[in-house]
Amino acid sequence: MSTNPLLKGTLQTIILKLLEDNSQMYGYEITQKVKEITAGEIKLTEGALYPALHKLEAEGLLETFTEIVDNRVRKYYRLTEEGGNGVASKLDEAQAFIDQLQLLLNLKPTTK
Amino acid sequence: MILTKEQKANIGVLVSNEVEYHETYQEVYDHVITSLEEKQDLADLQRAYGNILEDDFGGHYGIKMLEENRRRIVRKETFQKQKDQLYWFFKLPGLLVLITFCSIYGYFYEHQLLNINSVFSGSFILLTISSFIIMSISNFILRKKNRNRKPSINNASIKIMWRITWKGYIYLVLFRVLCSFLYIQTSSIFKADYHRVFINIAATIIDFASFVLALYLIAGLIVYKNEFKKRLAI
Repeated sequence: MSTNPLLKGTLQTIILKLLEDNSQMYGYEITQKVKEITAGEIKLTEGALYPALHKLEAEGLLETFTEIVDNRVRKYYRLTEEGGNGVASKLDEAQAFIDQLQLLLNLKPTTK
Repeated sequence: MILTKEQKANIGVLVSNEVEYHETYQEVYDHVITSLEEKQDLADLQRAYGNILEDDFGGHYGIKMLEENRRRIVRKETFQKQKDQLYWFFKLPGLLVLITFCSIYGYFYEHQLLNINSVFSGSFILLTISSFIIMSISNFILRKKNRNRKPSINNASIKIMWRITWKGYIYLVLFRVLCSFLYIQTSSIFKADYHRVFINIAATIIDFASFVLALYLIAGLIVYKNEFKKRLAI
């Protein structure tokens, strides 16, 4: 399991994509989803996740609402309209970056 | 594993001791409880809590960094709101309000009606005092309502906003005192005409700075009013 520093630049894209697929999620759920999708290979630390969520919220790409779950407040995040519109361009950006990396580092895509 | 009410309360105390703000408390507490409840065996609750805090949040330092980060974002957001509010005065319909006010001031000044400078200074002082009273009362109401809660992260940025206003006010008073001092001290050295120019320039600077500060204060009050309503509704 890795807390990959390379993730830092794509963290916002990962969050936006997950929220696009899942409509609403809370912090812990996001970390577990990433762990599940990557079969435990990537672990998002909350120390990185929450600042990214707060930044996206401040930028107006995410909005929050709270629900009471088992007598405690749970804060959910979901995409705003602006955030929803921005996901595709963020994904394109990430794709272009990965393509450039492949060219630069001469990486071959691996198949599992 | 399902945690008992007592265990949850213990975790609540531990999280409360770790964080500074209510918003962080809610998020970290929910995270820790959810994480603990997913564990199969909880022989030592305190150790399990410590591990989650260390592994997921980077320990005490990680939590501090998380709060510092959030505080910076909220501060930036508050200043942006205040700036937007300030710009309102320079766009329609705010510009009309500003032009009307300046025209009335100019008319009174030109026709020597009332002592417009005293009225202006008085209004400015009244605005400052009344905003201080409004702030104190609303703070008291919020503190009373949320007495069992940690302070909101928005408090920090609101405090800075008011500190800037007060600093501006103090600098303005100091500048006024300095101008009066220089005026008296140099009265025998320079001609009366030069003195009149000097006092006019100083008065214009003070009036302009007071005016900008008053607009900044009003913008801050509007931002605070919205924040107060939001926090009262929670």
